[in-house]
Amino acid sequence: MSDNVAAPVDNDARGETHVTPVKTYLLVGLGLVVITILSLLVPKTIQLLNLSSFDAAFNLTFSLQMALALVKASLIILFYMHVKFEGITLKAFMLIALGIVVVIFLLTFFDILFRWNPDENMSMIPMLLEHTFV
Amino acid sequence: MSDMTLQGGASASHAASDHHDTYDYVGSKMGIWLFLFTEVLLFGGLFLLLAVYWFKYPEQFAYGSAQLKHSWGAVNTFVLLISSITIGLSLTSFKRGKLSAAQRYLVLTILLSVLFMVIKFVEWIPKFQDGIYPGSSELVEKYGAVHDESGALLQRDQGVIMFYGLYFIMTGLHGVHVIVGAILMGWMIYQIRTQMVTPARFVRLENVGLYWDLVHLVWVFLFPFFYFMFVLAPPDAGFSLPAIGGHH
Repeated sequence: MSDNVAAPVDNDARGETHVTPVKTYLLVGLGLVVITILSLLVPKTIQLLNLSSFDAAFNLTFSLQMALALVKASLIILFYMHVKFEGITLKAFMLIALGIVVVIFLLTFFDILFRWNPDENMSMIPMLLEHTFV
Repeated sequence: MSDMTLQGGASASHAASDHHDTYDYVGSKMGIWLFLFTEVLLFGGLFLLLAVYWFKYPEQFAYGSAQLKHSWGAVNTFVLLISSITIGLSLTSFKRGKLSAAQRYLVLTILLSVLFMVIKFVEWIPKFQDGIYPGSSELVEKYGAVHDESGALLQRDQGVIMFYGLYFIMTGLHGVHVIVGAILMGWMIYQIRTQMVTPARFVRLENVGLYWDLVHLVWVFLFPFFYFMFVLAPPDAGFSLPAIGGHH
């Protein structure tokens, strides 16, 4: 144990000598608790907004929950998974992997959104735009 | 090193330092991240299914979401949140040389993961008893078919069946990951006690922590998109919720 690691010579090993302080875990944890409570309040909040259609209420529910989940995910990845204190290589890994997942979702939805089923007498696009947010 | 007379305690550190040449902090860490990316693709594919069928059956998915046990789901979210903190504190105390504190935090994390699984079964068993499980004929009968007055089949309303199918598969797969995480943490306690993991060579513990953080991360997305995607009808009756299911 005494032959401890020397100061890292490369950027990638930056994370090795950094110890996340207890305060960080607790503060970020508090932030996560607050955001979780907000996500529990979303359905009630949307009910109080008195929107005019189910689709609008549903879409807004989805947007709010997604935004909250993304904030939580960023906090967890940056602080709990230590990525903020890592070298550029690992950060690049992360961004590329996430980018690939986003592309997979995008391409699938390009297909789904513009697919027209001969059994339906209209395409999905006017339906989509009709009640999207109001 | 090779000509020492070894005693019990010393042999453990001798064995550990034999591994010294293969200890690669950067390589090990990149390895676990590559594995975590495959996990992201695994759950990502399932989330893609969820997104597509959700888009196709919004009313049915909102209806299914309203039927889940929200309080238990919320409790589970906080359980995993705290367990993420405790495993982080385990790593921090371990890096600072506090071995028994690190082990205590690991035990705490394992207990929290057991609590998570207990709550999950508290949610699932009533569903099974209500006839809601993958392949259930009662589920198909209640939601799968819509008949007109003469008994002819009008449509197969698959949305609720899809919702429950995805619910059990995704939360079930996540539960398997929780169990695996608990086993890994138990293994880490053993490795700390036998000095296979030390504050100078801690990457294995850190990697288990990263795996557990990913399990938490998946739940961060699972929870709102299954449990809290329901819509409450507005008080002034701006719209009413669509009717779901052929006959109840």
